[in-house]
Amino acid sequence: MTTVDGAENVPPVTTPVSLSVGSGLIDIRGACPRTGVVAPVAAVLAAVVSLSWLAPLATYDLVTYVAAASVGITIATTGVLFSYDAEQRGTGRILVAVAAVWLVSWGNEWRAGPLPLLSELLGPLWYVLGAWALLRYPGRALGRRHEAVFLALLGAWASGGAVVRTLLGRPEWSDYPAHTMWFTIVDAPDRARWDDLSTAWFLGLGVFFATLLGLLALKLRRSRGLGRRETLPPACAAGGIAVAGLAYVGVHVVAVSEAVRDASLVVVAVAVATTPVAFLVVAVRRQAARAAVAELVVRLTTTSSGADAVQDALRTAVADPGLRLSWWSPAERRYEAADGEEEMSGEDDRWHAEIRDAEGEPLARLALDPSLRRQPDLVSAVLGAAGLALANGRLHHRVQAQLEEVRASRQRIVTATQAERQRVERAVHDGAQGPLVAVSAALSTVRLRVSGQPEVLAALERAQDTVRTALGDLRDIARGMHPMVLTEDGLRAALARLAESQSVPTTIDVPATRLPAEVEGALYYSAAEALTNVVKHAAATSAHVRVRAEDGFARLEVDDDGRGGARPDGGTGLTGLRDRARALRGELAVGDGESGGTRVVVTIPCA
Amino acid sequence: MRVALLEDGVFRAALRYLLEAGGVDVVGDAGAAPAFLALVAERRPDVAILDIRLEAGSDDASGLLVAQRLHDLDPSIGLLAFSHFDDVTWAAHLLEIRECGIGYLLKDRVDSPEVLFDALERIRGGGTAIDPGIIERLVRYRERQGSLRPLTRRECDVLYLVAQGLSNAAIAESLTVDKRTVETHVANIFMKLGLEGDRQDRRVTAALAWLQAGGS
Repeated sequence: MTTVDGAENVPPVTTPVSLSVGSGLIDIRGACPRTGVVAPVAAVLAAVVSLSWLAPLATYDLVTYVAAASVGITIATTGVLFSYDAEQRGTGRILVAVAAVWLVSWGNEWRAGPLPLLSELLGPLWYVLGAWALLRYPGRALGRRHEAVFLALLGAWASGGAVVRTLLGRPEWSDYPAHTMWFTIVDAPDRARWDDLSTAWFLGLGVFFATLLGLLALKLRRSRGLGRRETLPPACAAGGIAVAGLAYVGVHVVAVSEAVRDASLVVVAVAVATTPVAFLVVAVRRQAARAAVAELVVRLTTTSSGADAVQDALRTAVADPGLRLSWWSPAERRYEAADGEEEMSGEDDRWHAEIRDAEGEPLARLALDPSLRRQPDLVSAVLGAAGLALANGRLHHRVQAQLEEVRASRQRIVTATQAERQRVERAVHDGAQGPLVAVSAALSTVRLRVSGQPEVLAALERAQDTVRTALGDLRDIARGMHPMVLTEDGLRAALARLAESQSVPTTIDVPATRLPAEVEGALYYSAAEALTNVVKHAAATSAHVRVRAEDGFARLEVDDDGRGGARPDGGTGLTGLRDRARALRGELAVGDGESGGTRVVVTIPCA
Repeated sequence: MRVALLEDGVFRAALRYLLEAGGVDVVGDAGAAPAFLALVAERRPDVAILDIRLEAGSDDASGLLVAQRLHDLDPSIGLLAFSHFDDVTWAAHLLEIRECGIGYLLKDRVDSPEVLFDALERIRGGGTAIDPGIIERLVRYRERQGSLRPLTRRECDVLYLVAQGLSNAAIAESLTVDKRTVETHVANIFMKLGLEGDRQDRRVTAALAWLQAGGS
């Protein structure tokens, strides 16, 4: 799992990547609400309250009852659910308030006490609050000052109008019994003036709803990427409510039958009740965005680790075409943009998120759309995936570089070893053999000068035998090192000489062409070691050495007709040969020959 | 017999004493190629004895090159190359210069003065002398391979001597048989092994080439 660095010190965990995102703390637990039993409890509670509060309505208009109750239940439940998301807590509370005010606005159904009066005075506030919630969503606050001004004006108009209508009217004008608790401040209210006032008020509300539609359109135009995906469904729902509100205003301004008026209320209620569906769509879209992380991981692991490829994958994953990826350059201790330009210090409105590896070493930095702050879980997942891919890529490059260094040094060792072998071979010939043959010559000289002394001659003969043995041993050592003939005449002459001295009859098939010195050396030692194994282990009656140089590879095959079963890891000296071959980017294979026995194959690339 | 020596180090002196003990007149010796060439040009020995590889660090002055210069100087001077290397390749390279009046011996051969003096005599007489140790190894190698199966025992013996550079007369003497018999053997050997005729001046080279490792 991925953890996120924040203000608190997260205890060290076995994670390859840590993220420090901008200035704020990203708490994944907060971003992934665990509502548990709260959601159903809230829904049941909202249902009980709504259904019982609206009970009087059920006795004569079941459709309106159900529609109004639905609004109370769905909006309240949505609000409760939202309050578990740190980003949406404020909006959630407003939604709960909307549901409460909505219910208050239906309190007039009780026709008792102050309830009708409260309904008239406070009722209009539900759509003010609703407009507030929808305009700020999905942000933590309103995005623009004019939105705040609009809400203030709407609130003033809605509540001001309601208060004025109450003060200047009579309860029965609003279809209440005459004895309803009411505050009329004029002794003789003028019905005609009150009707004009009401019409003006409703017309004003119509203007506000139309303006709300415009504001929502502006908000949509402003949003980009994931933000638009989130804004669109609620904006549509809000648009629907505004249109329904306009219709409601329309039926209040134009004289229509009571039934149509009631129907318009039901339409508004249905429009409001569907708002949670819009939020549900957003939630589904968020899940889809998270699913894009899985796709991102696949892309990052299958495509090349090139900077552009990673940047493109990230842009797709978070639907932010302006995303910029900067690599950490450890040598220069600064970030470099993926497209090669020097990274600016980040003095823009973008959200900068840093990715570090397990050791806290910076890997890269992302400049993200600020609207992605509202998607901390998605961003964490994306950064985690990107971090893994980047760390992996960097590790891969490091290992590759180290491997290349090791290989190069191995080749240097092989070359040095070969040079050393040649040096020792020379030393044997020039240093050790010279004096020995001189001694032998001197002994021969004495033998020629001495006559008639058999004991002396016999002693001289024994001494010369010893010298002969020593010379033979030295020659064998030199041949095992790096025979002069290999240097002078190449692989064919050297392998011919090698074959001649094998106790197992050995034939060779070697082209006369010369190969690079280190390749000839490696193939010669390989053949010598393989033939030694044939003699020691194979119980063979013949062996064959074949060399081919074609297609940029030199290939040595040593076959025998023995018992087979040799393995390169059997401690038969083949391991050393394999190391030598690999140092030259080659390979050694040991297997069964075509006609039984063992086959050792060494391939070494040679240009 | 008059010889000149091109060798370095302690071996030069030891070889000189040995040759002198065997009654050979060493007209001079040298440790480097230029001095040796001057010496040979001046004293015109019967045989020039030289190391096939001169002292370390003088690869350009290889014995083979010196031999070629001596041949160019005076083909009548016999050439005997001494070597630490028992590779037949070096002998074959030497025979590329010429096949008559030339020899290739391992330095080890100083343990058998008779072989050494015999080789010198053969070279002075326009013959060829290839180290018997090398030839013996090659013949054994071919024997192990079964390549000598078409030959009779006596033909194998003849091949061994032919490859060493012995003339038919010398072979006849060595095997105590008639010279005509040797000629027949040689003709049979060359026919059986599918070698190019039996040209006297290239037969050692042909025999060596066949004996050296190759296809079965």
